[in-house]
Amino acid sequence: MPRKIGTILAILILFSGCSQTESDKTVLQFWQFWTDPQVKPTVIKLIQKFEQENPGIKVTATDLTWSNGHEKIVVAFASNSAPDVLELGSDWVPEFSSQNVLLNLSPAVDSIKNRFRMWEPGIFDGKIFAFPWMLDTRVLFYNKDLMSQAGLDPKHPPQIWNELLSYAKKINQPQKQIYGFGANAAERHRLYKKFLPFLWGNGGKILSEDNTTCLINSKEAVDALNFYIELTKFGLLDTQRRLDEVFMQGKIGFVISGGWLLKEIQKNNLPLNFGVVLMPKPDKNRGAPASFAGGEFLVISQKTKHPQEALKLVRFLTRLDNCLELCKAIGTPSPADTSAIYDDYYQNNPYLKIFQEQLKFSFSPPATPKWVYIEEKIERAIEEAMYGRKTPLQALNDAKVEIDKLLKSP
Amino acid sequence: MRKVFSPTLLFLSPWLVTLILFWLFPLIYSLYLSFTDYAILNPHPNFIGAQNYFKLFSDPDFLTALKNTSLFVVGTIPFTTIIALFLALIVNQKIPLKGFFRAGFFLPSITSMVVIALIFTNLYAKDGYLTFLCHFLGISTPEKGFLFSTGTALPSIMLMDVWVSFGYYLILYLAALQAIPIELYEAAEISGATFWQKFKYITLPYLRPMTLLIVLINTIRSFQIFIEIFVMTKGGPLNSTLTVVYSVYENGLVRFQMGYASAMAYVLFFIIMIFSLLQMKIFGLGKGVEE
Amino acid sequence: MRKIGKIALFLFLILVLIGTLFPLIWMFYSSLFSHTISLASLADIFKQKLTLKNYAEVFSQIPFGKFLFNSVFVAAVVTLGNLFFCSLVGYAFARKRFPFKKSLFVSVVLVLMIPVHILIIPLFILIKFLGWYDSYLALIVPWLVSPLGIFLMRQYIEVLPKDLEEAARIDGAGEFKILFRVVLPLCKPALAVVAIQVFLANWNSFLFPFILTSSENMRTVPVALALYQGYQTIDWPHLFAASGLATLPVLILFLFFQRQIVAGLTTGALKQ
Repeated sequence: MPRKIGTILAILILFSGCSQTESDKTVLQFWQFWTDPQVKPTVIKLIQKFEQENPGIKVTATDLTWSNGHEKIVVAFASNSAPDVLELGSDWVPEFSSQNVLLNLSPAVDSIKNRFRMWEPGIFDGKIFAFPWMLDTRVLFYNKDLMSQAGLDPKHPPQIWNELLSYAKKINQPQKQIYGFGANAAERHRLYKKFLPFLWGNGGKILSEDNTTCLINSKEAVDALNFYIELTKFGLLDTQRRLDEVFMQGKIGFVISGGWLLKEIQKNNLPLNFGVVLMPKPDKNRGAPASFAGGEFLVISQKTKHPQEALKLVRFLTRLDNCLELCKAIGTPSPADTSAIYDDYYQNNPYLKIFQEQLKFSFSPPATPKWVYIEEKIERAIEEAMYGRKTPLQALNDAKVEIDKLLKSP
Repeated sequence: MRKVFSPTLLFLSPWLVTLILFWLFPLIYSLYLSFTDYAILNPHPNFIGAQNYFKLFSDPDFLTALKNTSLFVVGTIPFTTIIALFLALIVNQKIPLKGFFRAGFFLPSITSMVVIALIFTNLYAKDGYLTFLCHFLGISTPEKGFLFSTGTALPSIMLMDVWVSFGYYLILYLAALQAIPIELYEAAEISGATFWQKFKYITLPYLRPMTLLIVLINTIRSFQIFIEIFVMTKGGPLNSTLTVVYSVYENGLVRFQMGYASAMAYVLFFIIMIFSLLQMKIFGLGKGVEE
Repeated sequence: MRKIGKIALFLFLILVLIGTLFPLIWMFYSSLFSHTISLASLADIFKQKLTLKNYAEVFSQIPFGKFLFNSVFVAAVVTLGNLFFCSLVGYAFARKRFPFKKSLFVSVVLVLMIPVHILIIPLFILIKFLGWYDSYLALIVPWLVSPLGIFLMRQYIEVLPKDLEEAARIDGAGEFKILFRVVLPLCKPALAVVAIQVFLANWNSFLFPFILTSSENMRTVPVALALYQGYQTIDWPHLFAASGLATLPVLILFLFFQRQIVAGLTTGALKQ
């Protein structure tokens, strides 16, 4: 009997990977998220161009899904089989940077740092672990027709908080299924991106400069939350995806959204009379038109066997001409290269010009490894205020206490 | 001399190989992890004894998840089972287009769960068809919409779950109903039995094994509900749809606390086991259908 | 049953059926839209121009045919494998005596109940170690012997009368012959349930195929469907078209085997 088992095991082992052929080329594993049929050909083209420029390197690209890619990445790192080069969203970068699994890029990028922006999420302990690739932000979309119908001038979209609030009130007629403001409902990992701009715009901060104290219950923050809750009363409360869809149907006056909405409207050729404008400031002479900065980063696994080649791929993909090509295929993001703003593609497009302008006032959350927990606490506070369980002041006070505790623990 | 082991071991070998090769290592490894502070990206987990398990029971989120999961199990299984049985009895009658009904009811269970969850996200939206229907019928709808009101979010998902799964169990019940000997019914007819008597003394007992099976499969599945939550609400609003497996996912793969997540998974596993053993006892494990 | 009663019953069923199928009908109808409007108001919904191009595009934009093939192939092999292996193991549990029988059966039931998310990392490591990553082997082999299948076969075989088997044994038939010639023909209902259960579970399986494969060549349908969920947007028309197409193989198999299943079941019943 043991013989039979032995035979079976031997057969199984034989089945196992003994079919790897020797190759004289270096093979890089590259995982990325751009699988849309409109975008993928560009990715493939860029990879082929890279292989032509670097004859000794071959790149194998793997598709990640937006909905579950995170799991795949985590499993890969956990089992020491992370790809050489990987695309990570800005919200995920801090959690990987701080765990000693990414290659320290500082030596390679210190000299060119100034040519790119938004390094912050990838900086940990003074070292750089992620290369900013494509940036995007969120702006205020407004429906010109709904504004006119409510007696407002579509040439003057709201520029300050009070204007946004009163315009939303005027447009809001829920019984006719017309909504003033599209507010994000309790949507995990999204809600904070819609609230934080108001907090930042009002001068509030999440953490102190040294990331040791939580400042989220400051007066500026509480005022911002009060304002946001007030706004949600005059509109539709739903997930980002649905808010975008209802806006596209011409039923929402104002919604905060990103480049993807612009692309959808243009792709579907919708007869929508809309515009985009910078986020509103708290007041004419106070605060900033702040927004949430997001983006894609390229990282290299610390355990890669080909750091030099991986770095070459990263430099290639972030090179202005290549990155621009990809950004144009996707539609609206901007290369992290600071000179991208001067490209005609952005200058000649009134919508994209606003996005570029907004990037100047866009912030990202503090790059601390505990961010995923802090984000949860912030969202919980917003939810509690939104559902009337606590007043904004109470909710933020409680959040501060919990986040401070978090920051102090190892 | 024929070895006592030989054919038996051969017969058992597929399971032995599968168990040892594929499941033993993951099971033991994850059990071990539940006693550590393994944080995925940090490759050096420290043994911390039963701390994770203790932490679980003082974790309000876990207790909420446990409550929601139990509500879900208790709130869906009876309905799914009864509806499946009821409709199976009807479809089993001599009605035209039987096959058409069978296939029709079965269709939801062969469609991708993710797609169904997405469809229902739209149906349940504040400006969705269900709201429209309710207003048409004069029923008031929750202020923030079905999926964003803490009182209706979980029941909405439960309703969707019943809708998705009853068709599958209906097919199973149909299979069981077909296996009941017609002679028994004929004999009962001759003795003058009423519809209810026939149902109670012939149909039900014959359906007992299948009912056990259905309730068992459904229980194991319902305790582990995940995809619907992941697609529709991600545990919100305010944790009203947080279930245990979703919490395992969040703790393990989002917060990277795999040690803690493993402990949670094993506690859930233990609960499922107790529940299932209870069910098997109540329904009678392996009893025949002699009458 | 009275005529009126029958008609009423029939109408009732039709109503329930429509209610049940409404979301799917909506899905199918939406797959005919030329662009993304996921929840047009009832007024708009009939104004949409309808087109079948999404179905064509599903096949032209991505190798959907390959994905369908992968899913069908893997599900079929796993199902057939299970029918064979679970019969073997279930029979052993039902009829044989051996040491550690109870614990081994418990192991079967236990594996069924573990939440899979904590197993994916060790299982991934294992698959990588065996060199099966991104291959049919990873999609098939670990799933060839399903605990539920074993459980079902064991339950069903246990209550069968033993006389036929004993008669065959006295006649000198070997164990395999007894199982396949005598016992299994009586197990058609159980086999049908195992087949349906295993095929469906495998057909809709997402997490493991997603984690254990990476290339397009090895992709299965559920993973392909996930890819239609983009960054912040969902490509509804294509997602719905693809999803509808994904139900077709199962539907066809079901319709085709419905007759076999029913035939098998009634034969079994009469024999009793």
